[in-house]
Amino acid sequence: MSDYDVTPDPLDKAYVQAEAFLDDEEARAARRARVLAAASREAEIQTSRDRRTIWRLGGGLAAAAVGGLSVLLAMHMREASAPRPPPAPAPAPAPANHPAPNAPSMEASPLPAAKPTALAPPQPAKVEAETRPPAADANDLSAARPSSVVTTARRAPETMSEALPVPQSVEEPAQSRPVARAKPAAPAAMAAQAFSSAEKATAGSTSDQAARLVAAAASGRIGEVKALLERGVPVDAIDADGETALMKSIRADQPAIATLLHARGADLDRENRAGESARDMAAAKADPGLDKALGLAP
Amino acid sequence: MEAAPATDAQLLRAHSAGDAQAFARLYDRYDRACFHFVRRMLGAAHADAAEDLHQETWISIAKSAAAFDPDKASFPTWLFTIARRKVWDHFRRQKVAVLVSADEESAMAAPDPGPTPLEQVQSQELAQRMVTAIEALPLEQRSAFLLSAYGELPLSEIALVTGVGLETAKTRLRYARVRLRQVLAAEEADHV
Repeated sequence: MSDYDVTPDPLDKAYVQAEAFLDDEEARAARRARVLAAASREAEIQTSRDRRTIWRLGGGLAAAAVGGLSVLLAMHMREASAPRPPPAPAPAPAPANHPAPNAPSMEASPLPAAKPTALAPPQPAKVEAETRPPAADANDLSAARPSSVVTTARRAPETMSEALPVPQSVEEPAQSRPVARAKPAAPAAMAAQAFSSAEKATAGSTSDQAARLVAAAASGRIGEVKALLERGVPVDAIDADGETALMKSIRADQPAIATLLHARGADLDRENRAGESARDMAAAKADPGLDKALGLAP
Repeated sequence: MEAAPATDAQLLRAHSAGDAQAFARLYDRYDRACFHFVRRMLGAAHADAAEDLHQETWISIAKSAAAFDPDKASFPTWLFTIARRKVWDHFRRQKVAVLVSADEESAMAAPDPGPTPLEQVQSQELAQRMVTAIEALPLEQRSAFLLSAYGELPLSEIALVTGVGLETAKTRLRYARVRLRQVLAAEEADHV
């Protein structure tokens, strides 16, 4: 290392002496009291913000759980209302345009194959009992739940709105629910298709795009970040914690994305719900490269 | 046996866990170094902002304590990085344009005059002349000198704080000292 590291320069000592001569102990004591009081206030504010965040998160989780459950039920009901081929040809065919009666048995109520799913009436309980596989435990929802539906339902926090566009299923009577439980081998493709169309329906929503931008920034997916910005997603869009993509990129050590976002005009001083700004986060990182990229250092 | 004093990192952790005394202890360790750094970096023209920026620095420390990683840098390095940035932000807000020293080379044009009588500061007047000379240094040289003299940071950490390479930090510190001696020697000659 340098000789400057090992040899103390007399100027250093002279400067320390000079400051000692100029020190004002009263001013120093007053400064100390101010700083410690401000730090204490800040700690209280932080604690109260943390509490609020926890409540908010709790509420979000509850909403997500409700949303997930709604999606699950909607899927099950959709399956329940889907047309089924009759087990055997009907001995006396009904007129082609005759509406399917709410008959007590499946044999008496073959649904026309071309009938739209949404218009199909709920199947009576008797049919459900007959079609229930013996191996399935009707009380064990998880055992009978198709894996694809479970996976998708976990996405509920960001897809609350996705759960909504299945109105006909939600309106169906509760008695049709056992059908869903009774069909453990529910077609995964159907669930995927339903969610795919639901996603398409909400793909343009601002909050969804904002969440995607923030998530892409946190994960270092610079291509996606660029694409979303070019699509017009606001650079300072926030997620549920009030964090911007810039904040996430700083936290996640993604300097390239932070540079890109800064170049696109991301706000360094906007604060998240905890009162921290991207500037504060960069300061905490103490990374000269990042500071330069963000214009915080010359 | 007496228990070893808590390290800076331990005090920060204790502060994060809600121990207000830990923050006070940490503050007392670095209060002077931080304040003098901020004050001298601001110079006489912006001296009024010193108290506020010093306070803002410590508030940032308090808020970000949980994010401090002692494996990345020492606490003084972190502290001075934040303090320096507060000063820079202040200059930016005030639209102070001269942020980078343009005349580093000129400092080496004249030879180092060697030790000066001012290196033994024994009066308020000498002390004032010393700090005035320091405040007249170009910002980056001043920064390097203050971090070394009062902050007692090694070159590697000065480089980290100022965001430059080791050689640049070393050059700035050397130029700062030479220039300081030149100014002090010239003042001394004027007073004789």
